[in-house]
Amino acid sequence: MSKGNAIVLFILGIFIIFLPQIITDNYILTIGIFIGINALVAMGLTILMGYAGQISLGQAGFYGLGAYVSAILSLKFGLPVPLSVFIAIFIASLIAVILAIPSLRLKGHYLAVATLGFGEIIHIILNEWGPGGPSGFGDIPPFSIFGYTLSSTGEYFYLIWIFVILAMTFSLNLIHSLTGKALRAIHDSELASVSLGINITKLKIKVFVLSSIYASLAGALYAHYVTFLSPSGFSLFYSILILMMVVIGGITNIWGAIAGAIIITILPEILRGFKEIDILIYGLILTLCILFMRKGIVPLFIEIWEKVIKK
Amino acid sequence: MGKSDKKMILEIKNVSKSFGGIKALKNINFSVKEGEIHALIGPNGAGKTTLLNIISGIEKMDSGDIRFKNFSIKGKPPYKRAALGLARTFQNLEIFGNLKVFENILAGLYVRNQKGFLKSGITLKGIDKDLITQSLSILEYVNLLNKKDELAKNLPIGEQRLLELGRAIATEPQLILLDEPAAGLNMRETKNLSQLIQKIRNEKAITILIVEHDMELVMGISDMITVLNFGEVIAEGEPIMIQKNPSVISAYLGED
Ligand SMILES: Nc1ncnc2c1ncn2[C@@H]1O[C@H](COP(=O)(O)OP(=O)(O)O)[C@@H](O)[C@H]1O
Ligand SMILES: [Mg+2]
Repeated sequence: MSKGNAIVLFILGIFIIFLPQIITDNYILTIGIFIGINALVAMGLTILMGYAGQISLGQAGFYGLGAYVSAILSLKFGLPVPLSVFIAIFIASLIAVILAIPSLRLKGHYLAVATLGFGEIIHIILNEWGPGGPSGFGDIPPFSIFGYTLSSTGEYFYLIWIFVILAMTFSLNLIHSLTGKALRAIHDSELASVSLGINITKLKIKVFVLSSIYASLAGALYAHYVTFLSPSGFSLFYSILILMMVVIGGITNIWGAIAGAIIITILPEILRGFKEIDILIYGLILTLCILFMRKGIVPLFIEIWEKVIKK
Repeated sequence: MGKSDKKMILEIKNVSKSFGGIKALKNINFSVKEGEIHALIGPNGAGKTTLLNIISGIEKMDSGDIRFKNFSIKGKPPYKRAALGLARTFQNLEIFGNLKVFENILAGLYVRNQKGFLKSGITLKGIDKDLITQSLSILEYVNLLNKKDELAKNLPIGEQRLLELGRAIATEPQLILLDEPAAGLNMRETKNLSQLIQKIRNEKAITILIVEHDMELVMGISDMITVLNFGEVIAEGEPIMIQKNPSVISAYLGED
């Protein structure tokens, strides 16, 4: 990790520690929790798109799988929550490998198609066979570890953001390693990359599995936080929402995932005041963002910052 | 020690390849001796790039065999061939345009120095200082040190060709395939390139198989020349012999 990133991460850490101390409004902390959950999912997709040059339209599938598997294991089978979360992630990453091997061997965007199908299948399965069907189920055990059960919104805020920071640390390390350079190389020329000895299929699979780990972890944490699940939150719409966060935040910088998650999560809350036309304004803002900030917000800010410094 | 005592590093055996109806390569046979600069020449469309693609594994041959360091590499994917010590450059440049110049070299260093995905994710200190130093010394070797922090796509063609060469060296190969490295270079750049290729062979003991149209360059540096025309080997020999060979002369005259 570079010095600049380490500093930003440190500042973020301090901010996270103090926020629940200063802000006691649960509404704001809840939004903070959802920003964290979305950021985790978006982070995986950012690496996949910006560093492996692949698109997934099925992150909601991994998110839903993580949520449902962990919820069912702890609720119906009585497994400890951390173990349920772990198994849920494990199953999601296995499925990611199975999806990735045939679709990433071929050139082109087969992964986009395969994940689109996968997301839909998961959504259908949750609807048909998930506990409670379309209306969902509750009584999911809250998160507990070493005999301590988390209860307040502030505690869940810490839990989620600890994982966001851990995932961010892993992602930044990866990006700034030699493997990260190889990933960016693949993005520019697959032909040259293989000729330099880079096993591009294997690397892409690993990145995709990483993205599925982040998404299923986010889903599992979500399940134990809200303690109620229904299939509606795990549809293609959520995959598109994540895609939007990634594009608006900027795929060339991993911090874009957090910026995108903040914007897309907060925007509907702010626009609530506009009543009927909120969806219109929402659409307008997103369109403008994509039209005028093609690279995304974070890369744009860095560009401006560098210009200011040079002057 | 006579030249015939040297080992063959690369053996092309009965290699054929067609694209639909076009027979790009017809039963090609030739070998490259270890430590030599071996040129592969011939008119446009003769099949030179196709052959390099087959050797590096990017294209599959229809029949035949290729032996590298006495082992068949038939069916091996390109990344494994690179790990075995085979590197190449591209006629239509394939640099990593959005990476900085020194990062292009780092991508070349990956194959011998990678740590694994998980370990990379939990290592805080980033790329070893030693690897950065190595990348800079390779840049110095190919005369690009002053451009180290530029985006590779902003380099002029001549320097992009040098960058591809540096990136190939970074993989610590025993054989480098060069596909028209002098294309788009001016006279001074071509002269520097010719010296650099000889330096790589002499100092690093890397064997070179070069495809090139610039005859002055080819005749000046090659130990051996193989001539390809319409997918067939029509002549082979040392530069003086090739220059006098009537079928080579007519193949080249026939081009215009
Ligand atoms: N991918 C391809 N598909 C169809 N034809 C090809 C392909 N690659 C090369 N060829 C044909 O094979 C022949 C040899 O091409 P090439 O190897 O590029 O020649 P050279 O490098 O000697 O100029 C040409 O007739 C070319 O049109
Ligand atoms: Mg060619």
